[in-house]
Amino acid sequence: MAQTQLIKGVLEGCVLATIAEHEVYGYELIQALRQHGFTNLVGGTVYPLLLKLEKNGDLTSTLKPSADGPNRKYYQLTAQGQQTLATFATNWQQLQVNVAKILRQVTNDDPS
Amino acid sequence: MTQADQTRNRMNQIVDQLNPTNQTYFHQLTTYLMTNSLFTNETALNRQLLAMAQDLADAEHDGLDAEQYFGNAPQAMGDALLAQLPPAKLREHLPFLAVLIGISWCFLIISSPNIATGLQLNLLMFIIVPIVEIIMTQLIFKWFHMTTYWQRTNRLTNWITWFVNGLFWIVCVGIMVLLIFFVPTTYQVVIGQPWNLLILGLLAVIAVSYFGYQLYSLRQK
Repeated sequence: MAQTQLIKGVLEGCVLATIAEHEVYGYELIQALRQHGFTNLVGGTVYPLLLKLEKNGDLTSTLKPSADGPNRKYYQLTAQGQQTLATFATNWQQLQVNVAKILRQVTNDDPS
Repeated sequence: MTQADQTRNRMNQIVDQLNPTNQTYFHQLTTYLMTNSLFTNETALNRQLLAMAQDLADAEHDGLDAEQYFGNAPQAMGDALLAQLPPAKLREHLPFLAVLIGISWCFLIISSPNIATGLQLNLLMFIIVPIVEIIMTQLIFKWFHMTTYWQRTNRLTNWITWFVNGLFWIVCVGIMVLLIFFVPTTYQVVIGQPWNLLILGLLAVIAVSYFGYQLYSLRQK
């Protein structure tokens, strides 16, 4: 399975987790995610996702003064976003345990 | 200057400083999104585009081009953005609709027959023409939206695009001409002397003042 398909499912949680650390603007967020291993991530995936999270009420945005030009759009996590992130973390840990169990079993059953 | 104009100006200032490749990428994306603005909230769209232009300027500063930063599927990104942006608010389009209706009515008054008894106006035309124009404007925007990312790989596809564009305009003008012949003249009113001259004179003054103001604004810039 292509890594892209796996990433799509977890990207939302990773975006929320990155913004939970501190408020960010779009470019800052994409760079942070790339530095965390999402090297092929592009704005075409992230910007619609940010709009979706904002529309759902998980994120909020404010315009803040920028040193090199017009005000910038910074994203912050809402209380609902913190709850969504907590749910994601629980689900992810459970999923990780389940996948690890299956993979261990497959490896043990493998006669080679 | 409205807030939407200010946001657009700020965005244009940033885009003008990008390299030509990034400018082309961003201009195409802007055209694709803006031609859907009749159906999308203009304020939210402008803010989103400004934020993306700022981010692209940062990316360019760090040695990335638009395709590396946004990806090589701009149309898919545009569709995904449009799916998430809030729908258009009617009040945002009211000034545009008012201008469109105003211009159609002016042309209808000017082109109506001025007979001996006065100015003969077909009231049905005053209702039908603006409705048809609004529908056609939406279709034209939709058309530009659809063709923004059409591949013009060789001379033939380029000619086909121009031909279809031309055909589209001919159909639009044809519909307007047909309206003159087919709209019934049942509901006609005659504006007698001297009111007809007063109305025509007033329209002439408004038109001259408007063009004068536009020329003055251009010189100020």
